[in-house]
Parts: sequence; C-alpha cells; structure tokens
Amino acid sequence: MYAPLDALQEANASQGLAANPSYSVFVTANAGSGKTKVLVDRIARLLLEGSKPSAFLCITYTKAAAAEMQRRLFERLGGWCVADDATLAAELAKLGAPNANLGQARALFAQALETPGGLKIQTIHAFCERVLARFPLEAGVPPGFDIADEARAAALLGQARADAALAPDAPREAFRRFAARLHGEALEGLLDRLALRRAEFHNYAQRNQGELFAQQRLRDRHGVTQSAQDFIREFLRPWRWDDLREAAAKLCEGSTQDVATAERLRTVLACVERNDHAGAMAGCFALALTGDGALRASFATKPTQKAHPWLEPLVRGLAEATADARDRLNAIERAEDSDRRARTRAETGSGLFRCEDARRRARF
Amino acid sequence: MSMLSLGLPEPLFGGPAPRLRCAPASAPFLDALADAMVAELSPTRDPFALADALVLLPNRRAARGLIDAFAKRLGGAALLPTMRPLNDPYADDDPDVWGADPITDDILPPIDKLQRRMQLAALIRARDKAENGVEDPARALALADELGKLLDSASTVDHVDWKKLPKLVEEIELARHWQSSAAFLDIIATFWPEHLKERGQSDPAEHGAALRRALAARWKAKPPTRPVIIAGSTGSIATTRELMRVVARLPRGVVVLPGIDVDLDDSSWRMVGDQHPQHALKATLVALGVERDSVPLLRVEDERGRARRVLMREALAPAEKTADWLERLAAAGGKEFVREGASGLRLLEAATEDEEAMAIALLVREALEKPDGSAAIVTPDAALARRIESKLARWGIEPNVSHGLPLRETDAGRLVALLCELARDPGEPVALAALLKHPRVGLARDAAALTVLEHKGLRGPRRYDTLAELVTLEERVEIKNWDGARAIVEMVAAALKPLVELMSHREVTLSEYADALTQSAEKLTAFDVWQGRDGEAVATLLREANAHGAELGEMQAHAAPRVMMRLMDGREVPPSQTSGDARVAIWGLLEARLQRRDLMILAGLNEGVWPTPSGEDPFLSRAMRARLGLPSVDARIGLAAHDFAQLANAPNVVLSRSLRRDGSPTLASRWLWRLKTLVQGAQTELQSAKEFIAYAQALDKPAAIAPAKPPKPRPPAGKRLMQVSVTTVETLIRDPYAVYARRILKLEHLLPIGAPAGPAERGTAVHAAIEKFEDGSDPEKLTRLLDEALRLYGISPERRAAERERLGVSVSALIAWFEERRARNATVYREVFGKMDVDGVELRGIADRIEIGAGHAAILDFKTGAPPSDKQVSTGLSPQLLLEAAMLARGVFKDEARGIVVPRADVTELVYWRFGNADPTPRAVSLEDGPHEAGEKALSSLRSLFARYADEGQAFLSKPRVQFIKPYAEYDHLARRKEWADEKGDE
Repeated sequence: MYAPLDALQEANASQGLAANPSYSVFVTANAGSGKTKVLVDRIARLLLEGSKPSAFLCITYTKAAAAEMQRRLFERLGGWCVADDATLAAELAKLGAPNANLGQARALFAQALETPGGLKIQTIHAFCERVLARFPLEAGVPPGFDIADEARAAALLGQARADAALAPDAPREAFRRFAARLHGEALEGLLDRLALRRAEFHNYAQRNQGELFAQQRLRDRHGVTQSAQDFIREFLRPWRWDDLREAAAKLCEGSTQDVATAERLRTVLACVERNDHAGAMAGCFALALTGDGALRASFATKPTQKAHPWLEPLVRGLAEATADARDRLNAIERAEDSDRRARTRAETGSGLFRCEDARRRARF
Repeated sequence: MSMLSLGLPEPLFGGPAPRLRCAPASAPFLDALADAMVAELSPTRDPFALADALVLLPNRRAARGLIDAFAKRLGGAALLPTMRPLNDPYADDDPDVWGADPITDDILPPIDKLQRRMQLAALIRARDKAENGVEDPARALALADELGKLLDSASTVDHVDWKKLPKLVEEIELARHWQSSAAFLDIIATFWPEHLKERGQSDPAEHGAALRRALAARWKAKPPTRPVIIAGSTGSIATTRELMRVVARLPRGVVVLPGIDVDLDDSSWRMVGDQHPQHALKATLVALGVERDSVPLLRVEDERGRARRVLMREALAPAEKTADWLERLAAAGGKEFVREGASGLRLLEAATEDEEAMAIALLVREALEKPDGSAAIVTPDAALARRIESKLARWGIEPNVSHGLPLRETDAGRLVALLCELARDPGEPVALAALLKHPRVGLARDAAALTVLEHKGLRGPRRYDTLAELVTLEERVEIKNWDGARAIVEMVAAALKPLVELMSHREVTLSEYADALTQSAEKLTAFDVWQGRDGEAVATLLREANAHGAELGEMQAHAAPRVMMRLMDGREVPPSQTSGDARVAIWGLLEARLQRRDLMILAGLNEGVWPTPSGEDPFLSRAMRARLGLPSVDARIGLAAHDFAQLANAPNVVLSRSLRRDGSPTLASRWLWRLKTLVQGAQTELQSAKEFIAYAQALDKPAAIAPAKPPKPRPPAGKRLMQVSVTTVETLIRDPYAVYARRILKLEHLLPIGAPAGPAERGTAVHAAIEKFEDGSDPEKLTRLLDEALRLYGISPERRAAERERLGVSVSALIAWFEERRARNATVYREVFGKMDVDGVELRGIADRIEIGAGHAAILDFKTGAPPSDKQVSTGLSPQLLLEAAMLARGVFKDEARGIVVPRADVTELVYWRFGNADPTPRAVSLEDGPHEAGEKALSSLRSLFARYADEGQAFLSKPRVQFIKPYAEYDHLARRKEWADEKGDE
C-alpha cells in the first residue's frame, strides 16, 4: 500500500526537477497530471530570479491553453501579492526559491499584468501573426493583413490550379502530365499539398535540378520561348567569326586534339552561316564544355599556342562566355515558372494569405 | 500628504494664476463644470455673463453634453457660452470668438486626409517599383495608412526629428535589422515634407497642432479679457498643453482637469508610468508648472466618493507599489476600507458574450423601472454594443448608441462590395444572386422570374462564362419560363456595362473606377443606392475616391476593386446623434468621457478588448520611438486606464465581462484582475450581480426539451408510390424516407448557388456524349463531344483540361470495344425509355444501351463511378440492370417520338461499362442464375417490395439499416437524423 505514496513523491520530485529553469527539459505526461503547473512554476521561478516578463515566449497550440496558462500564472502571482509573509515564504520555499525577496515576489503580479506589449503566452498562430504584423516590410506582407479562412484559401488554391491548367507553356505541360495519371480528386490533392508546401518543393526542385530538368531536355523541348531565342541571338552577335574561321583553319594543321577542336568550331561556324542560332548555341556548348558539363581545360595544344599566340585566348573567350550563358539560359527557361509565383505574389499583395504561410514565413 | 485641497472649492476664476481646477472623479464632470460656471457667471446677475465665456472641450460630443447640463439648470432660454472642440478649435474663423484677423493666415492649408493617403501610397508605389520592380497599390495603401498613423502620432508631441533616424539605427544594437525600416521612413522624413512644400500645403495632423500653437501665441501676446475655459482634456497632446499653459494665466482663464488624484502620496506619484491612469495628467501638471495638491476641487468630494477613489487608486497603484499592498491595505482600514470603497460596485461575470449582453439588458431594464432612472453602457467592443442593443429591443428600448456601423455591413456598403466582386467576374453566381436580392436593387416585384433565374441559372454548377451566355442559357439547356429571367439578366448586364468596360482596360485609375462603379450602382438601383445614412456614406466614399483617386496613379484594372474595398474598410456610418431613448446610452470610450448616467455599466472588461492592445508599430522599435521623442505605444493604455478609473468612480457601477469570447476562453482585464486581487487580500469579495445572469438564463429557457423522434411517415393509400424508376428502387431499399420526401412530398434538394460540378454532372455529360457518338470510330470526335458535354453541364475549364488528358484512355478503349461489338452484328438501341405496370406502380427506366442480335441480347450501363459488385446485384440491393432485363423480356422499351421500338428479348448478357477512370473496361455481371432468370427473380422481389409499401401501415423510414447508408444525405436534415440517430446511424 506504500506504492501510491512513492509514486506521488516521485511525480512531485520530477515536477520540481522539470520546473527548474537551469535545465532544458522535455515533458510528456497525461492530461491533468500537472504539465501546466510545471510551466507556471518554471515561469514563476524565472521571474523570481529577475527575468523580465517581456522576455518570455510560451507557445501553445490552442487559444484555450494559452488563456488557461496566463490565468494560472496571474492567479499564482496574484496570490503571492496578497499572501502574508509566512504563507508567501513557505510557498516560495516549496517552489525552490527560498531566498527570494518577498516584496519583489509580490510586485511580480502587477509587473506581469503590465508587460509592455503584453505577456507573450500565445498560440503559434498568434505568435506568427504578431511577427508578421511587426515586420511587414521584411516579410513582404501589407500591414493590417487578414488571414484567409479555409474557404477563401480553397478558392485561391482553386484559382491557382485553374491558372496552371490553362496557362500556356510549362505549367500546363506539367499539369497535363499529372492529370493523365491522377484521377478523381487525386490531382487536386497533390497540387494543394504542393501549394501548401511550396517553399519546400521549390528548394527541392532547385537542389535536384540537374536530375529533374536535365539541361539538354530543357533546350530540346519544343517551343523554346521567344525570350530564349532573343537571348541566343544577342549572344551570337558580337563574335569575330572571321577570326574564328581563321583559328579553325590553323587548328586543323595541329595535332588530333586540335583537329577535334577545329571540328567543333566549324560546326558552330556552319550553323552561324546558315543562321541556325539554336544549332550554333548547341555547337558552342559542345565546343566549350566536356560531357559532364565542365569547362574544357584547354582549346589548343602547346605547340599550336606557341605558333599562334592569339588563337587560344580567342577561342577560350567564346567558350567562357558560353559557360556563363548556360546558367543564364537555364534561368530564362526556368522563368516560365514565374507565372505560378506571380500568383503567390498577388495573393500576398491582396493582404490575404494562409496560416501555413504565416508559419512558414515566421520561421527563422 | 496635504489635506488642504480637500476643503471648500475655490471660485472658478478666483486665486492667482496659473488657475487650475479639478473635478473630483466621483462627480459627473460636465454637471460639476456647469454648476461652477453658473455660480460664477450667474445669468440672474448678468444675462450676458455666460454668453461671454469661451469653453474649449475635447470634442463636439462633450460640447453637446455641456449644453444639456446647462439646459437642466437654466431651462431652455439662457444665452449659453461659446463652445469649441479642442481637436479642431478653429473649425470656423468667427471673428467674435477669435478676433478680427484670421489665425490661419500664417499656416499652410491642410491637405485632405484621403488625399494624404493617396499621395503617400503613390510615393510608396514609386519606391517599390524602383527598388523591387513590383508593386501593389492595395499594399501601398496599407503601408500609407501606417505612415499616416506615425505622422499623426508625431503631431501629438513637440517635435520629432526624423533625420535622426539613420543615425539611431547605427547606435542601437541589432541595428542592421532596422535599416530597411529607416530607409522606408525616409518617405516621411524627406519626401513627404518636400512634397507638401511644393504643393504649399500642410499635413492635416500637423495643421491642428499648428493652429493650437498659433492660438496660444496670440493669446499670450494679447490676452483676451473674456472668461476662457479649457475643460475635460487630460492634456495628452503637446500643443494642447501649450494652450493650457497660456489659458491658465489669462486674466479670466481657467483649466479644468478631470480626476487628478490630488492626494496621491509622493513616492507613488514619482512612480507613475506609461500605463498608470495619472500618467497624462502628471505630464500636463509638469508642463503647467503646478503641483497636484495645489489644484483646488471644483466641488466638494463626499465620503463615499473619496472611499471609492482611494480604493481604485490602490487597485491601480504603480506596479512597484504593489509590493506592500497588504500593509497599505491594512493601514487604510483593511476589510472595512474595501467594503466602503466597493459599495455601489458590482461584478458581472457571464459565461459568454451573449449571456453578458442579456444580463446587461436586464440591468438596464431594471434601472428604467424608476421613472427618472437612467443607465449607460460603456464598452470599446462594438460587437458587444450591438448585441446589447438588440437585446434591449426585446422591450422596445432604443438606446442612444455612439458606436458607428461598419460601412461594409450596411445595405449601401454591401452593394459596393458586390460590385467590386462582380467587376472582376460579372457572372460570379454567388455575388450575382446576392445582387439580385439586394434591397436597393428592387427586383422583389419580379419574384417569379427571380426564382426561375436563381433555380435554373445560378444554382448548381455554373453553365455560362459571361452574362451574355447566361442570357441565352435556355438555348442550350431546357428551361421553362426563361423570358422574365432573361430580362433581368439583360438589365443587370446593361447596368454593369460601365464597370465591365472599364475593367477591360489594362490600366485604370481609382477615379475612373469610382466613376464607373457609381454609374453601375445608379443604374442598378435607379438612384436608390444613395438613400439613408449608409447611402450618404457611400456617396461620400465614391465622391472622394473620384476626386482624389487619380493621385494614386494608374494601376492594373484587377487591382482597382481591392483598392476600393481597402478604402471602404474602417469607414463607418456615424450613429444618429439624436435617436433613441435619452435615458439609455451605449458609449465608446471617447464618448463616455465626462458623461454620466445613474447606472454605469462597464462591459467587455477582458484583456485584448479593454484595454485595447497597443497596436504594434511596424516600423520602429519601442526604444527607437522613445529616442525619436514619439509617444510610447503604451501611453494609450495609460489613457484608457484613466478613462476606466474615472468611470469606475461613479457611485453606481457594474463591471462586466464574459468568460468566453468568440468561443475561446478569455482573461479578465488587468484592472479587474488588480481590483479582484486587492479585494481578495482584504479577505472579502466584490458584490456580484449574478442574479442577472440567472434571470438571463431563465428568460430563454424552454419549459422542456422534447428531442425529435425518428420520422415514420405513413401516407394514405392513393398518396403512396405511383411511379418508381429502376434506379430509385435502390434508394427505396436503402433510404425509404428519401423516396417519400422526393417522390411523394415532391421536395427537391436545392443545390448551392454556383456549386462546383460533381460526379453526377460528369456522369450525365459522359452519357450524353456517348449517346451522340453512336458507335463511331473517330477518337477525336468522341473527345470533342465529351468536352462539349462537360462544358454544357458546368464542368470548369480547368477540370475539363484535366479530363481531356484522362479520358483519352477511356475513349480509345471504348472505340476498340465498339469495334469488337460490331462483329456481332447486333442491332443497337441507345437511351431508350421503358415503363411497365408492376402491381399498380409504374416502373420506369432508361437503358443506356441495348444490343439485340441472333440468339443474343445485352443490356449495358455506362458508369463513371464504381459499378455495383456482383454480390450487390445478385442480392437485389442494386437491381437496376436486372429490372431492365425484366422490362426487356416484356418488350416495354420504346420511344414513340423517335419511332424506336425495342423488340422483346430474353437477356443473355448484362454489362457495366466503367468509363473515365484509370482502367476503363466493360465488366459483365456474373450471376449464378442466367441474367434472364435473375431478372425475373428481381421483378418478383420488387413485387413484394411494392406490396409492402402499398400497405398503409408501412412507414417510410430514414435509412433503417446501417450497412446501407450511402454518402448521399440530402434528406437526412429533413428527417432530423442528427437529433435521434447516434453516430453509427442507429436509432
């Protein structure tokens, strides 16, 4: 029959330990077993040790829990405020702060009530909203934003899905690919999940870009956008093709390696002559890059370099510019994504976005 | 502590300058002021003495209150003093009041407030565009409002040097963080003053300050000899303090402050901080160079008043001073002191805001039992105010309410909101339905046509894109009596034309948008939109937007409705000043200042409501605000505390709150916490008004609650089933009540307005397309037919885009199957109707497809959802195909209009064709018996089912067997299942 008493003592001891603010603790316990009490004890002890009420942050998941915690804290501190010396001293000793100043302990009640900006015992949602409201410039949200309710969020997501489905080019192509495989509500479900976790998806896509969107496939895809074409035309314009033709001729006189370089260069020249810009660009990539996408180490063997000092720098110039152009060209092609992103902007622009967003943005 | 001040009051203009007076907190301020003025400037001695005086009060409402106070004392015939509001003292340049040469001569005229919003927002847009390349006018407007708040806040202090900001950012720790704020605030530091200078105008907030400053300077140089009184202001604004300083030193000038705690002990006075009730008054007294205990009272404070004041003072003592609360409590007299101070103070703690409102209404009702009794409810919570107002309506009590109504929630405001929605999509069904029923649109007389339009045009999936397509809907869908509906849609389309035309431009200005919206609203309502006070408010909004909207600059058309809604947010329809019973008032905090009724009810005393939390400054930290000289964001809490303390000092007070608000638990207001804790320290309790909660609960409590029982309708013979379709048989087995409601009561389930198309519409569309395709072989044709049918049945464009991808598999599978079937050389009948008599009930059905060949007869059903399992078919739960087999065996399928007669045949094959999923296939129903025999069996089961339901004793029960519950639940609500069925659906 002693077991229950031991259990109670043990529970009290572990509660006391968990309430000691010098430890970081993780508490898991049944409902009604005193988790809130432990938290209130911890805060009370920290306050007694001189922490400012405004320096606390307690996050809960429900408004009810947040209100309950504040109520219990104020009740505790209020009780101290009007307890006689003996009672208060006994309470403080029990809490593990036997040396605390009684007057200071009593004043904590009013100080906590008047915490500048309010005591921060709040739900995760309230906390995130507060951070966003406090830093609208940094967060890129309008001050005085509203949080979209479920219905509004569903409508916005539906609109975004519709835009993707009916958009020209890339989003539509992706949409079609998924639509053919996912029946019923599965497609909507997938797109909604992607939209809600778009930051993670975006990061993933960027990290795994090489595999997800192999460059060659991107370029080979039908209907290269007009802007990409413009870019290539601009890229090809400034080169001294006559000098390069001369370089190809000289390279042909060199070793096998030089001849190979000359062949690649001639492919480019041929395409330029018949105004095949895409071909010329592809040729430039072949000239400049190795099979696994690295810039080639050299564009002429030592003897050729010695014989024609002007040659290597000229070809290298074209190759290096091509390597730079690769990233820009990819960026242009990825810009097709921007339609999707533009919608996100419009959403936040209208001062409306979802809690999910709030939580994501408030992450730091 | 000096007790001198608590002696006899001084005459108003007696004693040396600076002349300050204070009204004791327990006294009604305006009455005390009126008494003092009448005593000093007695109209019986000199009828013009009063009229000669100039009184500056915080606002116009206070001025009206003072007029009432004079009227009570002097009757209606006296010549009253001149009164002006301090917040806008120079609203007129009446030379009798201000002197011959106008003060405004040297001050730049103020810019209109809306103009300021527009111009600030335009500056923000330009900045965003230059820096980020993107901008949004609605966001710019929201930021402009924050800048406006900052400018207003700056005008309440002496001087804010914005130029110091970038340096501050460097000085304060974590500074980098604030650089974007500092850069942004350059708009008000640099651009805004330059912008105003160019225009020769001044900021509206700064203008008011400049006026008060100029007035102070003039009176200082040339002191007026007439009586001048500043009364009721705590002096929280720097320029008001400046003016007070001068007036207190005029030959006949006096400043009357509300509720100075004249005998607060010195150490407490030193600790008075931001959140303390005396904070603003302390700053004012310091600015005026006067000690608090040398301010004479306007009226003698009685014992009770003093006891309450000291109790509230202790309850609201500076935080540091609460360390020895108990000792001070004991010194003041302990329990006796608290009991005395708290007499006349009651606490009301209700469970919900609704209960709170009801209990308060009952308190008011009781107060009015006395013939001259009066009551006032004070709350910053407008929603609670409206709740109380509606509770009072129970007894026909119309209070005088000072809370305005948000414009968006009025008729006229809602009309604007609807037009903003329709501007983006004139055919949006929900907004359109709301517009058609809007009281100002006045289509009520076309009720019949409206019903057709709503039920056939707007309910269910949207089957049109534009209004023009809605006009001609009946050309594509069968609708009876469309003419009236057509006329209405045509009228709406014509009225919306200005708006729709404007929205087709790439870029528009807010002026143009306001103009187009005005035209559309006028056309729709035949000018009724401007009626009433809400109409006036909307007219003002649109007029201002039209006048100043261009200054915001051009914007993309789709942004204009959002900007308009943003302008409407925060606008209120002001309350009517004179309406309602003068004995009952519901006031906001501003209006409650200086006013008093017999019973004062302070409602909504919860944290987050009262005090209203100090809003976050989105640009500046607390430290930066302090260094710039801006008022602390907590200063507002101090002002609210002063209001609360003043109100709580009335003799008869109820402090009220609710334990839950919007369904969430609440925390008591900090002041209530303090008061309750202090009282608890004295081992006693505040008097409770809980009997009013009991009354409130009793008021609406039913005598007994009789939960609904499961319905058991037993219609008489002749009113029972006459016609049943083959698909209804399944419903009759699973949910007889649904058949009763639909077929016997003829209650059709209404679809929501603009409901998205569901599986039912998809199925109908697929059937229609396959029927039209007639066993063709061109996949593109079937795909096109499907797409057309899906469109016709209201499947949205994006859903159709997805279907085009998905249905390809089904299309080729179906065509291949057709090819295969052609080899059988059977005659094919599509969608043929059949009916036959089954023991007095007509059994009806349409077979999707019947094939009859040599020695072979098949019935097919296309399914877009999951077809029933063989077991469901064989056990008779899903007898559709079997019953069709029995009908075919009797040769009842015929379509006389099309001249089709399907010959009688014994069925050899029953097929469900699953269409439109990932794996589209035909599936033959496989049964132990042959299909024909199974059909005959199903028919004989049907006979016994019909026989059962022909019996008058047989009730149509709601879902009698749990295992049969299907997801459709259209008639569950009618059967009130939730009241009697448990979650499993059992009785």
